[in-house]
Amino acid sequence: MAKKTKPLRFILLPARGVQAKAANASRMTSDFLVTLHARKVGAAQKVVAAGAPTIRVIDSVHEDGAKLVEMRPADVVKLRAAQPGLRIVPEVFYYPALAPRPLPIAPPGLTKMAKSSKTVRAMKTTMSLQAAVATITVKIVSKSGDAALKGCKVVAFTDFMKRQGASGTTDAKGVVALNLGAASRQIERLYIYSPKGFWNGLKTNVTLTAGSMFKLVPIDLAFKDALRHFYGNAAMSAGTGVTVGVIDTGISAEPDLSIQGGFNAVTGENPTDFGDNGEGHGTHVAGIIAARGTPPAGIRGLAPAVKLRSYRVFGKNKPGASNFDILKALDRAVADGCDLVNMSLGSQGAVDPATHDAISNARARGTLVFAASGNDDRKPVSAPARDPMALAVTALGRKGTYPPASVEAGDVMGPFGTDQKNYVTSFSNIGPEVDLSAPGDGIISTFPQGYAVLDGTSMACPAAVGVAAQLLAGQAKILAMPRDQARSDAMAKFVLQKAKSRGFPADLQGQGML
Amino acid sequence: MELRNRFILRYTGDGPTPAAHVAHLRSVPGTKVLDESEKMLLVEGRKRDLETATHVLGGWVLTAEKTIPVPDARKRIRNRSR
Repeated sequence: MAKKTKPLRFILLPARGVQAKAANASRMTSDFLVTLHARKVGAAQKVVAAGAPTIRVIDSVHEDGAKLVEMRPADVVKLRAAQPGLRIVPEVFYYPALAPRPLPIAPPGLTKMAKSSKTVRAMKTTMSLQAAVATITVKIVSKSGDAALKGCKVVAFTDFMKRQGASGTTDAKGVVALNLGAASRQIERLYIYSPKGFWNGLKTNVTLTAGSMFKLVPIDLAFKDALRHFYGNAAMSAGTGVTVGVIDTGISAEPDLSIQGGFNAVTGENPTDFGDNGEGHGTHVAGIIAARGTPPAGIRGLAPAVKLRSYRVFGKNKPGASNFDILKALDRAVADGCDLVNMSLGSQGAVDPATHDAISNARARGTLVFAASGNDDRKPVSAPARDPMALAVTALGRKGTYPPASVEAGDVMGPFGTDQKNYVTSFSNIGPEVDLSAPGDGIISTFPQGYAVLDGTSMACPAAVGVAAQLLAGQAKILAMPRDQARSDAMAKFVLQKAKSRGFPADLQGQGML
Repeated sequence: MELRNRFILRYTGDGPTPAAHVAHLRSVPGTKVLDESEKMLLVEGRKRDLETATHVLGGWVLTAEKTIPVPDARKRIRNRSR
């Protein structure tokens, strides 16, 4: 049950600029701002229909301009659903930029000791000798047939809260040596991540000794994971008439996927090479939206009939995606006529002005942008998801939709939903910017030359996009609107009003799940 | 992660990007254009010079280029055990 919180101040603005004009706001947004102007400095009033939020107008810059209002944070989500063309930003106060005071970065004594290079050399020698006798070898095999599993990342936490422990990757014999400082060690949590084809494993409170062996469960494509629990297998016609762009690592050509086209936005790379860069992330995301297989031979996404387009922003052998390439990809997806764009990417911090402009430009040209809220363990919503014109999606999980000893068991965190088996994952970033929640824990989908189980708001975002595409496919009038702000506002309003609460606070689930 | 001396210049005005603006930005001393699209330039140069140029032209925003890693919800070690 959501707690009643104190009202806070927010500024309400059109998508761009501070005054509603035909180029930057729909008629709905403009009319709303004008309505609020008449209620300036009034008592709290219901501003839309029954069930709509109560807001108090403190100040108004112009009849159809910015409004300073007071409302409860939980009501921000309701207002965004009712007025999707409105930018809602918290009132911010600035303070003198005093230089921070220096703080010690190491306990007293350690710095002095480190100054002696002789001491440091002696310490290193002792440590390397200790390390040689202090590693524990662990073997990972398949539960089906005991075959050794190569390339599994094994992460052993001696103290999970402090994220203390050791990690490594298995060799061709399925073996990894973990430097845990002893020949036997009590492990609080042992995570085993396979590259593909298996559920990832979690063991809690185990003692590791030389030759400890663990088994991973192979993926069964007919298994009912969280996505299939909530939505089942979609009809092959679901999503007809909707074009979806995926801005990611590219999409691999897989039997279950039909890619209509795309663009590689990575500076210096071939623009027509929009296949997966080898990471597999974009291929997994694409499968959640649009895979066309039939279990148990293949896998089915939520909207198999959409026109799927790939926009690659992660380069080959490059450490990350440039925001320039991401914005270039978004501009291109809009120009290509994408109705919905999936951005399962982001970083902590504010939305930069160029990104805000690109997302606003997409909305002004009739395209709706969905973005993952981020996976930083319930930190504030990442950028670009926190942009007021993007729809931010958190990841929902459900107990019983993965094998018992899977990593997803470690993502369970309260508060629980109306159905006590449902939870918003512990890794999801949360806050008042959240618009929707969707299944994102233990999701089976396509992967380069196979299938994989992944967790993340990266998986929840395409789940929301897939269902949105299903729903919008039946809205011929909205899809036929001119590609402008009114169109994207209509799509956002329709989608957000279809979301149903699962009983979580608004900062965890937004409007709820589609 | 922000990249040193690399900036995105994005045209936010209505209509197509004015060719004269682009020519002006290209001519800012010490500035090298690394990539471009319909509405943006990726440049290497001095922030102050670019800020001045975009301010004079109007309708442009300047943002530092940064990179973000592929999202990954897997748990990681922050401190090695001893």
